[in-house]
Amino acid sequence: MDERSDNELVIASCQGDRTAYAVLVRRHYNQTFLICLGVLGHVHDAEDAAQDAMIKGFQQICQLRTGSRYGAWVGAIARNLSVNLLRKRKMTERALGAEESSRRHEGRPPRDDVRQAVARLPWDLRLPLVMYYFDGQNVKTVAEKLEISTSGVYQKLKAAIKELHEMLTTQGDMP
Amino acid sequence: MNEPCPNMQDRIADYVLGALDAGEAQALQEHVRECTGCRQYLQGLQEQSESLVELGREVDTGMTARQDRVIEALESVAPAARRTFPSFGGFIKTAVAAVLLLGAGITIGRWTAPRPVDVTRLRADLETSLAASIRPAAQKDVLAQVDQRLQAEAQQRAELARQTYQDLHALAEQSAAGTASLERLMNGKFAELVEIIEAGRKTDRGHVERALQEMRTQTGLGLQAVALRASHAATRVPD
Repeated sequence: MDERSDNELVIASCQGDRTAYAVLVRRHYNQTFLICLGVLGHVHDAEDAAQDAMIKGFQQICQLRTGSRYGAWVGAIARNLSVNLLRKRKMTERALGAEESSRRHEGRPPRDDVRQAVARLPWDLRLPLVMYYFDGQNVKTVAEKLEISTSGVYQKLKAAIKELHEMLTTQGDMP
Repeated sequence: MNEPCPNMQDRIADYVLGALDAGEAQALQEHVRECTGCRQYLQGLQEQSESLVELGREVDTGMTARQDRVIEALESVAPAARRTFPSFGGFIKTAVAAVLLLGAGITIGRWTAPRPVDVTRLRADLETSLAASIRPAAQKDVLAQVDQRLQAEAQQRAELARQTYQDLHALAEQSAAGTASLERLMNGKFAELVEIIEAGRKTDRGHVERALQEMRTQTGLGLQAVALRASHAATRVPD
């Protein structure tokens, strides 16, 4: 296991050392992926976005002046990329709205499970929910990663779990 | 399914998230023992939480493979490009301030010092006036002095530009020292720059005054009046 600090690894990466950057990927990928999953709601989309964020981080690593902040920095890249992707996806969905609407009228509402219900939450509620339940259920850690207060995280989590419950019970099939 | 008490839903959500203290948790437990709707709501949220944790574990199982894919993809990515001027937050602010300050300094310099274009016009005006009013030998002497001053001014401006470029380059190299120290350095350098511009302005004014004095000595007050008009035109505020 590489014991170099993030700062040392960032400096080495800036000099083109891919091995050093691979260590940063191992250290920070999970958090980056969860941010993408929290915003996008789908695992495959999150994998693509997290990979793009990590690669963008490598290409722009020399712009990072405080190497110890790499995790927060690449997390911010991931979040921005994911939010932009979500916006584009919503625009596409709106463009296809008429077709979807007619489908809804024709068939029964699809069965939902927790995964799908999470994917349907607004992203600003889904992000803290995913980071909380998928990564150790620690409100303080989520607050630090999202740079909001712990009470803010509690409010979002509370809203998220209530809305999730509403979706699942409305569909009539609690997991 | 019975509905939970409307005023208890938030409290139950807080309980599930572990946000209640011991006394509040105890009170809630007592309530849900008596209230079927709230009990079902609590059970629903607890089961949902368990499902979310389970989903998180499921997602987590593929992490190493995902990391491997990212590292593999990195092989085909060009290494990070090193930049002479890093383009991030603090430095951008400093650079914008510097450019504004530099712009202000140059503008003040242009307002207060004779501009090269206007000095050229001054020379042309003087040449015309001198040709008509003074003898060739004195004319040649005064024009030589004007040329000499124009050349000195050009050298001074070139030196200023070169020094400014060197300073900015040195500052960019020192950017690793941190934003705060960089800003202090930038402030210091631009204070020096303003001083240089101010000194240049004073020198230029001195040159014009001395030229006028010499003209008066050599050609009399009539030519000085012509030169004063031309000088006034040269030092007017640009449009």
